[in-house]
Amino acid sequence: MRHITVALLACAMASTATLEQYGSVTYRSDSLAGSSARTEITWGALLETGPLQLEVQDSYLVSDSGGTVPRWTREGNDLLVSARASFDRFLLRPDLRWRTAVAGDSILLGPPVAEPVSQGDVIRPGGTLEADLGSVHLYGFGRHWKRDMYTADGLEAGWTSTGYGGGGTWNTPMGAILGVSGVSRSHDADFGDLYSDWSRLDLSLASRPLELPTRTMVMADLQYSQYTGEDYTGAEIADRVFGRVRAVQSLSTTVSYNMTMAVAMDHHEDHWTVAKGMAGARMLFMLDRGGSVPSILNIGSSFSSSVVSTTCLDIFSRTHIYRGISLLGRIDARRTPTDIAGAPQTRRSVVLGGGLEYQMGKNLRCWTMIEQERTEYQEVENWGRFRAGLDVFPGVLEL
Amino acid sequence: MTRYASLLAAALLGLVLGLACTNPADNTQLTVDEDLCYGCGRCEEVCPYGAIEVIDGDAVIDPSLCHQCWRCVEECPKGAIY
Repeated sequence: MRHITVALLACAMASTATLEQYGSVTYRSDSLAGSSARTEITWGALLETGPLQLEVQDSYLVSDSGGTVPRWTREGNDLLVSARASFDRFLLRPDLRWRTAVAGDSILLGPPVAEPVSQGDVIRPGGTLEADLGSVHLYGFGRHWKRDMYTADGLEAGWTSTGYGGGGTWNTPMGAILGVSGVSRSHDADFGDLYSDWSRLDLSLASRPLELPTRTMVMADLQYSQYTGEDYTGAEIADRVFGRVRAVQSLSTTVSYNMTMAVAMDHHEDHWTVAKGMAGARMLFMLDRGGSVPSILNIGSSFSSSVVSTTCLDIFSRTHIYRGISLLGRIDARRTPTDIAGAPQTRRSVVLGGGLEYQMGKNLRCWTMIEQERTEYQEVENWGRFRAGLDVFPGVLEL
Repeated sequence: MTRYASLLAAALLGLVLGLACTNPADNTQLTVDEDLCYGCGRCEEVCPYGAIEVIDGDAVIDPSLCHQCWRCVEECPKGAIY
């Protein structure tokens, strides 16, 4: 990280530039005794000079299986370098993602009976070119993935993927936004019998936010996606129509409300099927007493139904008490599908948590919470845990 | 106007839930709600098939690789995958 910072500073010496940095550490235990479940350390920097931007983000994750909860384990580094260069009406965004696996469970490769392999490094160079031509916006992108894989007997193999696409939107004078886009993707692995090639053509129609009385805005969109290709079972991927309505209402200066409803229908072999539906709502109370840290109460719920159904309710509160110090509270109740052996097909969990947060202006935030979770696995598990985090924003540095 | 909007919302909600619960497809690809997804990458971590990747801040699911094990649905902290 230090070398990257030096390189960024060296690049900026030639002209006036600004440098923003941020860092965060989050930790979660699997018990109150402190057995580690997940630790993530992230550092990022944004260098900006004229029409050029360079952003670097590096994140190191250790996700452990812990004692109580069956979990996918991962350890590795994730580096994302992206740039933005704008000239006239065009914007060029090249990027490079490089994931380094240090340890972790094998991934499963190949349809339909997957073969376990270990995944090593994954490198993904790519880029996007956008053009803003008044009411018409055009874009095109391309990406290439190169994954290092290792079989159980230690043989090295490769898995490459390519994806490209493009499209455009037209902001019509009638208040609608018309869109056409396409994407194509292919995978080819040295083993595991994995070769797939699919593409999708999207036609979309969306309304611009429609302002209604009582400070309400409504948006709707409809998309038809035509697929060419097969899923992991060898069946053709069904075409899909997806419709969604969203509404946002500001009930007062301190209370806002939003809701979303969506339906998807699949078309396959001359049959239309209602594939899934979703409804969600969220209400936010924000009380700013003139201090820099507002007190908030955020209540959200959602329900979705397809082959499986998910129900979520979450409540988060932050009550500012004194000079950046706040009390935190959290309730998270969920009903989700699971594939953990022995667990009910749909498991229920409830998390109750409380803690403290300290914010020092906009430069530093640290927090800690103690949580109690009750979850259905092979049997009902009930355990306490500890979470903490530190976010640092040193501010903008003029170079 | 507010009354009409509320009635419309209630009717749409009934339609959404009613339709979706009556006849779900046997095999259907997953959807990511881009409003809810904030690109935390938890789905990408737990996907055993390498079928999900966060690109430009949103989770993107490859329908040819997804084996519908629902781990991402279970793991998503926002319930954004369904």
